[in-house]
Amino acid sequence: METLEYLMKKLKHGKIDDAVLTFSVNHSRQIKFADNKIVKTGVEELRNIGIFIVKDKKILTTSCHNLIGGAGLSNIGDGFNELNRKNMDRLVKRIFEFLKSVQPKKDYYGINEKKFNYKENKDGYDPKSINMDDVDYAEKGINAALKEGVKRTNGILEVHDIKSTVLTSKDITFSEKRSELYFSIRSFVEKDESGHMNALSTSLRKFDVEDAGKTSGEIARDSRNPVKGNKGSYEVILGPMAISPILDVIGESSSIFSVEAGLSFFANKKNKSIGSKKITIFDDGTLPGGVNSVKADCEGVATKKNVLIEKGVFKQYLHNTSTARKYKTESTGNAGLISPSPWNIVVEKGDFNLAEMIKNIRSGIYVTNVWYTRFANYRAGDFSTIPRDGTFLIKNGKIVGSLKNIRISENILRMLQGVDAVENKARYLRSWEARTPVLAPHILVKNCRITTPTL
Amino acid sequence: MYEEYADFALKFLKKKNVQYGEVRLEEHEEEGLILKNGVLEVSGFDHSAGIGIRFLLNNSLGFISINRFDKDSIKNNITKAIKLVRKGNKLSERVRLSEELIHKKKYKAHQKIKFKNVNLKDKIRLLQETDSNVKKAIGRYFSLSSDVARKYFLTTEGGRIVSEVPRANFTYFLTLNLNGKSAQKYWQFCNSGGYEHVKKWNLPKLILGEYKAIEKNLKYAKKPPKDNIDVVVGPEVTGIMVHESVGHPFEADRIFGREAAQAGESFIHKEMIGNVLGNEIVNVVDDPTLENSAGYYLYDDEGVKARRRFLIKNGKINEFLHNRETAAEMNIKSNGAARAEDFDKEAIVRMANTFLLPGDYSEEELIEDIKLGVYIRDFTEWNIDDKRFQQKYVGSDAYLVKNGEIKSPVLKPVLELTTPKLWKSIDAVGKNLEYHTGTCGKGEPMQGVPAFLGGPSIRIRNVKLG
Repeated sequence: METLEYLMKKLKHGKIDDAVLTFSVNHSRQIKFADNKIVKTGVEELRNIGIFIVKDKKILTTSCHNLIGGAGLSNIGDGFNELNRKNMDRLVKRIFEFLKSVQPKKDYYGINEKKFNYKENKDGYDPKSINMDDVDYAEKGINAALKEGVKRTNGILEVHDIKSTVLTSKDITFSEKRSELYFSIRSFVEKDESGHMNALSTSLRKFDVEDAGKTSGEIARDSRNPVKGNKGSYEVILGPMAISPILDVIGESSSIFSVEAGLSFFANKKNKSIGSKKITIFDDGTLPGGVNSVKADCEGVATKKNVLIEKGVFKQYLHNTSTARKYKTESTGNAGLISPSPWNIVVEKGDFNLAEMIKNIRSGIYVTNVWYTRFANYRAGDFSTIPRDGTFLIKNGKIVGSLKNIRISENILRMLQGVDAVENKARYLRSWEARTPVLAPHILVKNCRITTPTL
Repeated sequence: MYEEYADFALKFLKKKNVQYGEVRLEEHEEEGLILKNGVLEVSGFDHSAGIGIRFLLNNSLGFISINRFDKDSIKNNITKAIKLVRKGNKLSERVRLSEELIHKKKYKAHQKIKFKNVNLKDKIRLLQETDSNVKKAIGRYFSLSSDVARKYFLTTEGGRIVSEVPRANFTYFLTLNLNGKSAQKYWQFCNSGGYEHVKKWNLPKLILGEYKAIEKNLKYAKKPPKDNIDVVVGPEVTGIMVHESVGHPFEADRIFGREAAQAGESFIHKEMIGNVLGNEIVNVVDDPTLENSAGYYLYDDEGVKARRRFLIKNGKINEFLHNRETAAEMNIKSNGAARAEDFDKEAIVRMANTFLLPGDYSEEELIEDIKLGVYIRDFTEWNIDDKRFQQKYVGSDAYLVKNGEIKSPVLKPVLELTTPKLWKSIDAVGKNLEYHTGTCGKGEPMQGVPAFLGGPSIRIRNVKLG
């Protein structure tokens, strides 16, 4: 804290408009496994000070990852010495020198000045994770998959212990402690017969590696002897893993930054019907047990639950204080000082269980996971993604076989319009292509376009 | 500046009697700016450094990353990692590393015009000039940055590689909207070297050209023919095809399943060396030693000397991309393909600069005998399955070809193909070799590394567009 205060004092001497300093320490461990065996274990200790400065509406970001010689960040909390001071002075000098060449951003309107009574994120940190038996957890997850009759499992277990402190030039300061426990397991029977599931939690008690292992094993076991799928229009059920990259893009597209950059299919859609009445999606920075849940965003605005899509109507963009003032609205607590960003994307649960959803389908496909989601046009929402792992053909209310070599070639808005049913339970996860965690149920989409290779 | 901490880490590894140890100190000096719709959104600089430490103990692999430069912290983290490796040993894969020559070398890619000698104001002016040419685009996002990466690499075997590789980067997104229809183009540029490359890119002209191509397509494009036709794709499309459907499936760690959880596996098996994958005019290489390239290096992140890898030779599978672990698995030498994104990631098997070797045809000659076809200069959306077998490329700037002549623009021609059929359907290779840039993503945790994706124009016979 002494380092941050010293740095802030020096910056304020330079007559800045605003500054936000964020100090974080991440202690992590990692177990990577392939073919049921550990192929790497990892230990990490990373420290960083993120620096955001505005002077005469000129914006600069920099960071300070390390300071030499047993001083600097290593001593934060344990004292502050002359070497720190010299390094900080050098950095501040460079910041003001650099700012001389920067042009003002005329539509910048400042950072938060209001002091909030923060609600502590009680479920966000589990000290037990520091000494958990990582190998035992990984082994339990692997064994749960093997019990389902699969031959190979691959994946990773990650444990993060993150501490951060924010200090702003408006004298707002707060600290957070967060745990993140992540387990990802992909099971194989044969090369084209696989299943994948992740577990994500802030607490050891709720970190269910066995459920992830079992589910991934079940999907792999059921995906035996896949055949090439046919192109056409299908009713498609997207499982939580499969919907997660799509929800991730929905979250990013809700950011006003994406809208301004021409990278959002929600441009000009506020308060307009963009989807089926059956779909409601939130961004929730307060989600109990959410690995991205925090009491405040990085300028000190208390986080909250923001509705993005309510019964098919797009309701609001994600803002920080500056962008909110520009558009004469309130911050949604999503700073990102340059680009507002989502915390946890949550789909409101529906009325059906998975079995009921399958039962009501005449000709459809159940997709448990997708891979390589890419957009031709973020503004229009045109994209394609490749189903992988268990992909099941549904005929007359029953799963009748397993598929491979198909692609979903669609448009996000068209898919949202096609939502026909939402499951009554949801799974919390993040995935390789969805860095924003999601709380996602199975979702049934009508008239989904499936394509296949022509050569 | 931090070398003494790397030296200390190596000494401590030796003291702990590891079978093998390596220490990779990385420093990055970066500067960048983002211009969005003509307004300077943000600019900044960054100086980061940290140490990645890898070791083998009882044939189990451990990795540490740390950016806290004090000796006690380094000691504590190594001790913690050794404890974790010992704990996991009962479940561990017995890792072996191939025997390699030990190198002690220093190398550097030169900046003819040093980034630090170019004033930020000039860079802002350049992006604003670029922007002013395309004001009618509703979304204009330009990012220009530089990164000088210094590495200090040591091994317990006596290896010592010191390097400095600067890179210039430019990324853009252009979004046009005409008569209710929108189109978008994203692309990036990267060269190792200095600011001279930014000058060579001639950004105002380049972006204006892209704008005009998108505008023309939005105004005049019609649907492509539905029947089987011949298709000529330009170097940008060839580059992505080579990267996705040759480079990736030739990564030996995929072939052995180490990255199966996320990045996926490969449709290729280790026994397939010598098998035919394409026509005999298909020759694909991956070459980290290419000067000024995005993926440039002379020694990889395991200290192995880099060389050109001949992946496909005359249509046949010739060699895979290896690090020391996969090379040991096949009882061969590594061909120097180990790369890490930064100090905090382990080095895994990666491409550097992958490209199709040029043939004899001019682009005109590739097109002149086509009665009905499509020419696809560049692309927008693309993807490929995680075994690298089934892929899709959506054309952006594309034209109908009739009786050997390029005619009117066509709308989003879609190539959806399997890898063997693609490379077997190529009957002519152009001589117009170009290198494009991509950030190649792989691994869990995800690592993005700069790479060239290249090749000349190629002709694909008798294909149905989606």
